[in-house]
Amino acid sequence: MLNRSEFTRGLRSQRPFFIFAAAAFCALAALTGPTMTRAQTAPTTIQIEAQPVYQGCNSIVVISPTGTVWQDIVNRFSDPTTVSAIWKYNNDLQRYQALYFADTDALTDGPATTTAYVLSMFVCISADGSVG
Amino acid sequence: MNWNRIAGALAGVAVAVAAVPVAAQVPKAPPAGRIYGYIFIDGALPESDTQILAYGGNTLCGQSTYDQSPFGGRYFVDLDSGLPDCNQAGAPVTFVINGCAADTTGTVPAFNGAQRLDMNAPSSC
Repeated sequence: MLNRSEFTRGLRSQRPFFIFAAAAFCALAALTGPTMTRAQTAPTTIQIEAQPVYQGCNSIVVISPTGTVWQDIVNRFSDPTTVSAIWKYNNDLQRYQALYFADTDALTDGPATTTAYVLSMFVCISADGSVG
Repeated sequence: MNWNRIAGALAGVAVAVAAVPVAAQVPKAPPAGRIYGYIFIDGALPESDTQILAYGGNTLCGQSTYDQSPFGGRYFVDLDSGLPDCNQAGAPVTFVINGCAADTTGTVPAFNGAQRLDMNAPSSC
């Protein structure tokens, strides 16, 4: 067991190390801190970068309030009737889940509405168009 | 104990961890489509845990285990879009339910959409 003076002396002898460790910690904090601690402002509207979309499946990033129904996202496409399906990869389940089908009787196994502000999804459409 | 060495090693590990990019999960393309509906065995709704296999030709395109509860007694099977026999819209899809061929054939839905297919299979074959 160290007594107090031995402990203090030990700390002094380690001073260069502590300076280096502090610098390393600050560098780490600078690298990772902003993304880990930045407060997210809740969006109040659906935001999708304006872009062309093509027949087939298109990877789209959607920013929206949580609880947004998928039909509201579909309505942001130039011709919503061309949207046949929305699929999203569930990383926890390691598989795709269906969020929306044009066939309203079809079974979907994803959440009924958005559950996060930012979502990446595949929107599959039957004809070229645009979204935004 | 050499605290300088230990601390130096820890700091080095920390910097290395920060510098190594995290490998992103890159999922393959979404399914070629979903086939859903009611299945019957000898005309009756099956028990949970009934196995449903979907084939494009001899290729297994998808499978699921029927569960009575979550979808009102309906099943669904997603078709693998990475397999040529399973991703051509309109191509026939046959089903095997608990080892017996179903009486109805579906097709790969267009544009990764959904197609309803109710089918019946015998309890023994």
